[in-house]
Amino acid sequence: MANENINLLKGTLGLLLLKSLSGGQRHGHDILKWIRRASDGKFHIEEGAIYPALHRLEAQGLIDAEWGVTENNRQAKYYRLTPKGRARLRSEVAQWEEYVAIFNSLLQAV
Amino acid sequence: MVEKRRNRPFFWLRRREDIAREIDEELRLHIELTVEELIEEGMEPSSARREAEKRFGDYEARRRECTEFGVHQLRLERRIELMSEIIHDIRFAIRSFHRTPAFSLIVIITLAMGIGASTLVFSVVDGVLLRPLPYKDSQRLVMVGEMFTDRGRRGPGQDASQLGPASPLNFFDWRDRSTCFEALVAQIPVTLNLSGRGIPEGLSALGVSADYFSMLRVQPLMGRGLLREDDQPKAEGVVVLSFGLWQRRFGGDADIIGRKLTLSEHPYTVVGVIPPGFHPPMTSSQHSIDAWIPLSFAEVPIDTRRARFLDVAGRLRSDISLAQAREEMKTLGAVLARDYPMENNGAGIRIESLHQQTAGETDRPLKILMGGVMLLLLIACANVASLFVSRAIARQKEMALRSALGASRGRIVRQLLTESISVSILGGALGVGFAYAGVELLAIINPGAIPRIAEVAVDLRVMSFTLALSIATGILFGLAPILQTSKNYPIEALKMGASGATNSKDRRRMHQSLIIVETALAFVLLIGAGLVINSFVRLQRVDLGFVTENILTTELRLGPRYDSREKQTAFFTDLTQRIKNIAGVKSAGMTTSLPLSGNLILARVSFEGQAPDRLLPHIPFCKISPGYFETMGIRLIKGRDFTEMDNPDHEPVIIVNESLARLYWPDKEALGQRLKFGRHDSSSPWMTIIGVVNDIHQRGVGIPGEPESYLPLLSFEQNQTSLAIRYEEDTAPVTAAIRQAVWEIDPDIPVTLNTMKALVSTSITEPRFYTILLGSFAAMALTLACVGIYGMMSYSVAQRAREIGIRRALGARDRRILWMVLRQGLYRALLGLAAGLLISFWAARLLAKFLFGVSTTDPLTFITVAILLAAVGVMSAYIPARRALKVDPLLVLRAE
Repeated sequence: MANENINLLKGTLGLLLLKSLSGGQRHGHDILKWIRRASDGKFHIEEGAIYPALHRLEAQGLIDAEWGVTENNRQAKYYRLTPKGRARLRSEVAQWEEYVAIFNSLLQAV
Repeated sequence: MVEKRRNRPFFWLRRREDIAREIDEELRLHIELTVEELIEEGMEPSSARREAEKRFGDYEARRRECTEFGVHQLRLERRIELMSEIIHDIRFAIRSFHRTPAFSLIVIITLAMGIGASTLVFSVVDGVLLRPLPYKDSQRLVMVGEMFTDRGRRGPGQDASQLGPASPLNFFDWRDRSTCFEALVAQIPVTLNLSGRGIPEGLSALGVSADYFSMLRVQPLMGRGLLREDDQPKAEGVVVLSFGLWQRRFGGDADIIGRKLTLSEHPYTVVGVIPPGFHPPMTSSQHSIDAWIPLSFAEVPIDTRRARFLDVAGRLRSDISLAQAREEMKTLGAVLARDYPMENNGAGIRIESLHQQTAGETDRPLKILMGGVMLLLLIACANVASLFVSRAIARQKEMALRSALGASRGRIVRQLLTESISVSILGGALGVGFAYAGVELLAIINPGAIPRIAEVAVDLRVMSFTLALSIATGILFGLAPILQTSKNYPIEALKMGASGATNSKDRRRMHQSLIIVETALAFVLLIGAGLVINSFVRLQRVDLGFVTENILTTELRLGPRYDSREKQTAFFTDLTQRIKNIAGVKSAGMTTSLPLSGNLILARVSFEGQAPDRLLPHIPFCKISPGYFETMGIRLIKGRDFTEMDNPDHEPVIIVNESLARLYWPDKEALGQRLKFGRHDSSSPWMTIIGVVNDIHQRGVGIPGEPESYLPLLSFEQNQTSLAIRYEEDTAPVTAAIRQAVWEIDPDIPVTLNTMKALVSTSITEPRFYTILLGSFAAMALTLACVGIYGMMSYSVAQRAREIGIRRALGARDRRILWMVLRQGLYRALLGLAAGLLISFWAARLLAKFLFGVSTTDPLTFITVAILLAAVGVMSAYIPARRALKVDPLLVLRAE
């Protein structure tokens, strides 16, 4: 399993994006950088895919968007969690952990 | 560090380009940042760009995806915004109507009258004309008939476009030799005496050929329908009962199938019961059918080609069109005419859709009724429009303020329309209630003569019509105030006071035109109603040629045991004697055709002394007993009545009426002339005319004297007649005695007593129906017009209060001012009357066919209506003017 890029499981991108914003507001490129850093470069994501996902999360009211200025004085769209998004993140994480625990015990069963 | 670039107000004002631009910016930045990163790591700029784009993925696809999503969201939000605006408008409308309850109430009631009446008429039109017949795949059903192209061979009241009845042998040829029909059935109405347990009852039944129920796709509730095997003459008699008869007579007995009944002294076995709600085609809606028996049991000759009495209906094969069927039957008709020239020469076979035949002649008068009710609706709209205009003026300041605060003209228009449509829908809802009540009332008036009247109901179809009508009405009168608002909103509006001097000219013109329009519309409707009412009154008062008061009638059907003329005569004579002996009975007589029953028989006759090969005319005749004329009050003008002596042992005699005498012997004496049935050389005997009676209205109340002849009943075999009895005192004791008299001789004969008066009344239910409806609409229209015209004139005068005040302060005499106002009112009324007159002359012609004894330009009606409406116009001006003159001029001037 060394250095093979692992594809993201279907349906988990949303959770990932929510989590990426839990530390504060970020724009799309920063989110990608965070993912790369936090997964040690092992997760393979087609970069452009995060934008439709971000807009969907915004339409659902889980994240907020605002145009702002980067350090290099560029116009960038910054996203951040709404209270609703924060709550959703919590519940999704809990669900994920439970799912993983059950699946693990199934995999280890005889 | 993040700075806010811009807020996001008016998100819904963004457009597709804005969204696309934003997305492009966002995605472009991503790529730029990646490029910068890669360059920092040491890559070549061009390869850095390529790598960045590769990492990004399909840029175009992502961009498109985000844009589509964004646009979709935009649309959603716009829709939500629109919804909330509309809800806000509706709430506002409700609130503002709450604030002025009197206004709202008047508007809603006015609209309810107009929309309710329209809904009522539409529900009748829908039930009778528009809705498909209540059978499966009814558009494939047709009626097939025959009619002679030659006028001389047709009877009175028959014209070439009708579908006449068919003869049995012709019907069988049609059925067996045609390919265009999936099924072809014939039916004949037949009356059966149900005897046995309980009171003998006369059943209204149909004798039908095979495949009747399967053609109509009727599933019996219990048992089965009639099969081909049942229609053989030697088969056992079977009968199918209607739901109504099964419940009423047999108490819904679950074991009814297989039970044996005695109908007209023959045994029949019940094989099926039909579900409720089945309306047999080609039958009048006035009488419901109780039972069905096979055609061969209906006691009618099956092997004749000449006698035509069967009603024929068929179902076209699914791949055959009406035109194709017509072609085929035309060819078949020619073949039959060639093969059987004596019976079929000159007869053409016609096919029409059953739907059209059922509606028959009612579509014309119903359409006229619909036109009339639309006039009423327009009058209601005019009233409401003027009310709305007045209200809009009072709210000018409010509207101007809204406009100044940023509401677009479109938004304001939308809000005003929401108000008017909301109130219109409320009016429509109330109107549906009126229409519902109206339909119930229809059942009381019971216009059974109108086909399918039982199917009329205020159902979902009709209610969607009401909804559409309400919305259209709301838009119509809602536009009036909108058209009034000048383009120099809001400044102008804010500047002037509530009276708005600058707008008054437009306002006055609108009121003027509304008054003229209302007067004209009311005129037309009142003329229409007036003519119809006039005609109906004459119809009711017309001299029918016979007495209608204090006469009881009943049908008498003798069973098969009376199988000879002697036995029948014995019964009739015995019965007549017994009835005459009842206390309170003045006279009694019998006839095979009561007036207005339409039971006359036609036959060809030859006249003695006329050229033998002349085309034989048809004359109608019925058979009567001595004493019939006396009972019915029919006068003998010349000669004598029949007596017991006029029987087959003596010379054959005949009595004719005035019209017949005048028609065939215009300058000679009819008494003593001789005529016979058939040609000169036929075997029937020459009959001598021994009497002439006055004409009666035989075919209908509105159809005056047609030629008619009478034969002595007792000279012929006849097992079915109507008995007429004239009495003096109140009916109850007499009816019981009559029944007893009949049952003393034969307890199996049903007796159903009617009064002649009721029969006459039933025969004019159709004109009565239209008269009541049209009359009610006219009354409502007159009320609305009075209220509306008076209101508008009052308002007008009030607007000129200032001007009047000045004039009076300057010394003008009261009378001059009064005349000035009156002159205006008169002028408008006259214009309206003139317009109404022109339209009425044209519109009244549509009624020509339906009027009895009244011309379409009846001066009395026109003058009455003109005076009435002129009076309304004048009084509407006079009363407010008088009131304005009572006020102190100084008060008026100061009140500005």
